[in-house]
Amino acid sequence: MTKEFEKLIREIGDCKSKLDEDRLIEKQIIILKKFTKKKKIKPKQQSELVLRLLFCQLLGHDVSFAHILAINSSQESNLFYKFIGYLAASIFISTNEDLQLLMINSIQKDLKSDKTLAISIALTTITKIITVDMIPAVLSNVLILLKHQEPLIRKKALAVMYTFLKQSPESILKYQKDFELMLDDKDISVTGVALDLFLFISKKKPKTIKHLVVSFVEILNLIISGKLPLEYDYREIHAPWIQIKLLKILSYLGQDDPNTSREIYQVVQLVLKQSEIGFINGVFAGHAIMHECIKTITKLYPSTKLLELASIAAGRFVTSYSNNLKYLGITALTDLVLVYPEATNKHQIIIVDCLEDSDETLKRRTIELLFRITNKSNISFIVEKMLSYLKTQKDKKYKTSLVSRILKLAEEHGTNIKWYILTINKILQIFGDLVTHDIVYNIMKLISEGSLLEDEEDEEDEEDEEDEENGKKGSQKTKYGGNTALKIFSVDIYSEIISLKRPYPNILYQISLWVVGEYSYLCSNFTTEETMINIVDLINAFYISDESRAMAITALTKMVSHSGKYLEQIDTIIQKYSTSRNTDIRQRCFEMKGILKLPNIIDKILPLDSINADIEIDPNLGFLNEFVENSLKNGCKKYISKEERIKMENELQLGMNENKKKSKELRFEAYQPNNTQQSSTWRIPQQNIYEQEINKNQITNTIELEDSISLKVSGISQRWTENGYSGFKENEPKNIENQTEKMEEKDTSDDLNQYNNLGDNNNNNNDDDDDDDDDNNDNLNNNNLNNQNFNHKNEKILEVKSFRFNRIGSKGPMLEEGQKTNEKILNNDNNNNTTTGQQKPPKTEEELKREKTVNALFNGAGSVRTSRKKSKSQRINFNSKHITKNTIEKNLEKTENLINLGSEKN
Amino acid sequence: MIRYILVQNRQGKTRLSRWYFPCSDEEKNKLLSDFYKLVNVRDPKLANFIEYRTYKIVYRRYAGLFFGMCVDTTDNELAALESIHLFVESLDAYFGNVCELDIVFHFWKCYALMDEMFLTGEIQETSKKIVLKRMSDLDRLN
Repeated sequence: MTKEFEKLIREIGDCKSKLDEDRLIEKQIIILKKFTKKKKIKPKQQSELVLRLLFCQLLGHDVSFAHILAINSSQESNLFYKFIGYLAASIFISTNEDLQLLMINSIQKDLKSDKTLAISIALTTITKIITVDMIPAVLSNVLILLKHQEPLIRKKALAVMYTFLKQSPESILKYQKDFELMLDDKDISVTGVALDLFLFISKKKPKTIKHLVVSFVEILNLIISGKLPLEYDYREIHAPWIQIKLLKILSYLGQDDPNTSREIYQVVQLVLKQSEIGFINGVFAGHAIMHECIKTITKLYPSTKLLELASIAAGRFVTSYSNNLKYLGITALTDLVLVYPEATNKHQIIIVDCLEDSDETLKRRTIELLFRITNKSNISFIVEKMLSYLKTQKDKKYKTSLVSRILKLAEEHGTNIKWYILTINKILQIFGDLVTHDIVYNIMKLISEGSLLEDEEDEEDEEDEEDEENGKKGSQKTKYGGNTALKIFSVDIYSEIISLKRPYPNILYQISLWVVGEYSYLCSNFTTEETMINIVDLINAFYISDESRAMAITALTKMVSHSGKYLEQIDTIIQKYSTSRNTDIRQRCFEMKGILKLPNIIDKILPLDSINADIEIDPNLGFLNEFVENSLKNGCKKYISKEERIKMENELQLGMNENKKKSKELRFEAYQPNNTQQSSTWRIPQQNIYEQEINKNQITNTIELEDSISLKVSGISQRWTENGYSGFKENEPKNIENQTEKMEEKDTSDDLNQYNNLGDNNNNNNDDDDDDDDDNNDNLNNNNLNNQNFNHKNEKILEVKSFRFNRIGSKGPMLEEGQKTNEKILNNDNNNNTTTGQQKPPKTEEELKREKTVNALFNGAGSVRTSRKKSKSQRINFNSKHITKNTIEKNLEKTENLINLGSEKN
Repeated sequence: MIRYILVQNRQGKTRLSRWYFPCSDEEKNKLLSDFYKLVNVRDPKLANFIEYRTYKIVYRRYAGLFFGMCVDTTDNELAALESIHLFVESLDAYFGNVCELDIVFHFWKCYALMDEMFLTGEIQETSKKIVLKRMSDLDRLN
């Protein structure tokens, strides 16, 4: 090593920051680059350079430009330079695959060398750089070297074979006989390497080497009897690493094999006994062997005697002063209890104490062990310990898995259902956000059915006493199963939780609300009124989520219906949350309101303790038949399925498209001024895409449409002639139409379509009209809910029209007339919400036809849009200012009550 | 099987590293920094084993240096711990009261010694005497 290099190392050592270090190395690399460009470098200088390269590489710099130097160096005849070259190559090689091929030649040459050192260096290098493709190139040479006279070469050759075996087991296993010979090698270190190979084989194919068990046992006996050279003793223990390798092999061979196991028992026992002698403070070699013995005994076919010895040995580990040994003891016991459950009996306290150790590694192992040794007698103690451990944890992922495992444990081994419920509540209180919803479902099921742990009822004498106190109820099984005492117990607990008004996790409140809602009539520590007030308070609390709030409202509904008691506060709640932003809450409020209005059937809607009752579901909605028939008789429209509506839509779009062509002429009127004050800032681009899609479909759809569609379009085509629009009849409010610029050029259907798509047209003109569009869609959605209510569509149209008039603000008399019509119809709408024809002033035939088209249009267009803008429709539902309040409520009550009451029961 | 052997000082500078499985440079850097983070903070009283990913890291501190080994979970941790000790003993015997600077200046000799003891990810030579003889053979070449 030159002084220059030494200086560099020293300077690097003195560097105070990574930056200084990098600067030095970069300088060095520039120098190295200059050298690599020289054609002739002296071997000595070259090896020096290689060392410097190695140094730079180890400091994390890229020196791939000079890897070739290492290879050159490895081809030198001087063994030292060769050694440096190979060493560097074996470190560089993982980053540069091309080097391997360049290395092969020199390696092959060196394997045939007559110098032991050269062979040894080459063999060492092979183990590091070998890939599957390279094996055939050197295999034959290595096989010869297995019989080399020097133990060093035999050992390294065997190590190379081990590398081959790991890379390509199939091609190497045929040399197994050669390896077996190596087991009897004079040199124990060669045997040691041979054991590596057999350990590998014993894991993959134990059956192929069962006949060698005798040899392995023999070697082990040889070692423990101290017949090896002294230099293999480590702290007075004979070749501990080789003993461990042998024990490992034997454990794999004896696994699930009683006969082989019997051959092994004796030697394992001997080794175990001997390992105890080697216990010296601070030296773990003896412990290592003992630990391996325990592992082996666990794997072998069970022998009671050995298992007992193993559990005693494991006890020594667990009770040890050292954390290392404790850790291993816990690990050993974790495996041991699976075959020998008695193993932990004596050490339970110590094990649990390990949970309070400051070592995280130890604690995690302990938790694993505790999961295995939990049984019915210690469950409550262990779960308690686990929970206190859990509180100290920070890793959320680990916590989550632990919580679910603890819950599972409680479910498996819990003997007392009340304990189970209390424990789960405790867990939920602290770790509610980590618990999945299955557990909530489980506990609800448990309370309602009481089935999970019922076989333990004998133990629950106290419960029986309670039952008696509660009169006959307790001993009876309720109609749908379940244990009434349990229900009383749980409803008491949960109403208590609600009354505490603490910011517990929502999941706990949700269970509580459900239980209280279902069984409030059984509650013994609170009156129904008290609980109701508590729930009302809870609903108003800031710390519960909307989901819980919605459940609370339902719980209230149930309580009112069960008890027949009603509080004024509930009115306030309904009033407050009927306008909630959360649709679920709003819906439940309306449900509640609706149900409370029906005192006669209230107990049928929400019967007592009916959670387990089977609810018959009529998928054809047969009970509605009568209603439908009556409606049809009264002149309602027949229901048109979605597919049909889409077809209609297509046809109408087709008509519209034709008109579009004509409307492409230049427009000379000014665009409408932007008068609207809409706050919405987002707009929906789908409309255009949607139209394009429709256009694409038109050609294909037209033919079938002509046959299949029942929509009356005759009126439309009559009105539209080649000369253009034929005009309205005098009775119609045609002046309204004339006011809107576009209308003049279009036929009625298009005209109406335009109302339908009003927002889109406006979009073309000004960007702020999106909400108009929303409201429009909204109307459509609502209309789809109820076929009868077409009125507000007309109302809407007229409103839109008058809206336009306002904006244009000219031609006064026409405007007034338009508004008058508008008002008239509006009044009609407010008075009656039934079909259109009756209430409105007499209309001409034309107008009626137009109306029908409108309806059809709204039907079709609405349904398609709904599907496209589902998320939007929710928001819209209640925002529309144009729909009368009556209509909303009627719609909601009719549809939601019918649909959702059923689902609530489920 | 040993996955890798590391020697780091307390500042996190890696002095030696040997990898017995294919591994990219980025991965190596990650493993090195993880090793430092895990080992450096541990109290000396704690166990010398850390569960890391699907492996175990067995480490031992000698003065300002951490010697670490990453082994499979089925491996015997104590045996690994003792092999680290054997390695340090051998270094000590070779350099004569080894210190960090010896390892820095003679890093390639350390690698050679490591190669004598550990090959293919297993401990291959447990006799200190033989290892030292081999090292002196190499020295004689120079």
